[in-house]
Amino acid sequence: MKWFLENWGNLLSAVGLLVTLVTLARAGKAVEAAEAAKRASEATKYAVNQQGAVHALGDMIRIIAELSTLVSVQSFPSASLRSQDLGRSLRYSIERWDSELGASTLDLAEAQSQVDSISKKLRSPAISQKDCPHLLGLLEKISHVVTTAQAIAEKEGNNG
Amino acid sequence: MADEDRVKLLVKEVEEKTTAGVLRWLESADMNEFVSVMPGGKFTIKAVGHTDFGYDNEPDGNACLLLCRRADDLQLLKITGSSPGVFQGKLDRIYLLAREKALGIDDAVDEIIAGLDEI
Repeated sequence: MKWFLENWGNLLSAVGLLVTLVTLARAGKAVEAAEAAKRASEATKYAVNQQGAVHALGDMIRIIAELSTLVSVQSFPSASLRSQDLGRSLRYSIERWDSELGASTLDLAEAQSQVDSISKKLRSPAISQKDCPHLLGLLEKISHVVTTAQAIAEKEGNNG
Repeated sequence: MADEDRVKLLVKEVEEKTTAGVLRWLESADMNEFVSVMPGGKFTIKAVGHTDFGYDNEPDGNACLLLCRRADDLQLLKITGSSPGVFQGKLDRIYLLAREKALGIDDAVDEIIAGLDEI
């Protein structure tokens, strides 16, 4: 009892230190947990964006197929409208998923320039049947670029 | 209007980079027009070539370069042989080089030579 009365201050300091250590340990765990949650949230956001890019590129592949059919049957006004849809989709995807598309961005930018030239050609009153083989060849190349970009985005999504 | 020195420098750079094969040229829907997306992706340069009817169906007959904004394909600048300080011969050479690169003419010739060798 005497010892306790003489050392109660030290004892309280020791208890205080213990409480501080426990609090710090818990705070450290909370920070770690918060960082892990942040990392998980970023990974989820990246995966969702990647998935968005993959879907958008898939839609473009379908538009290109439809556009090729319209050019084949020389339905130029309808093809012109679809080519404008394709140009808009490419433009939006390049802006929206710039980081997710990575190295494919430049290829898609080039494809967009080619699609713009197709739109202009399809709007021209001088368009005729003789232009179709060249336009179809160009669309095939654009399709290849978009398909490759989609495969890369899909692979990145699976790795991420 | 871009000043003469800037335009001359742009033409010189495009010619040098095209000759070196570091500028990628692509086919467009027009058989006499080739396009290259500039580094950074904001702008394109189009090489428009020799036809009876040139760009936008206007009588032309000489090669020219068009500087466009990629996002909306807006034409910012047209460089022709009559642009101050620009020689038509240089533009013609760029057009022919761009066409050669975009269509892979060298590769086609190599492939044909290799094929002929095997006969």
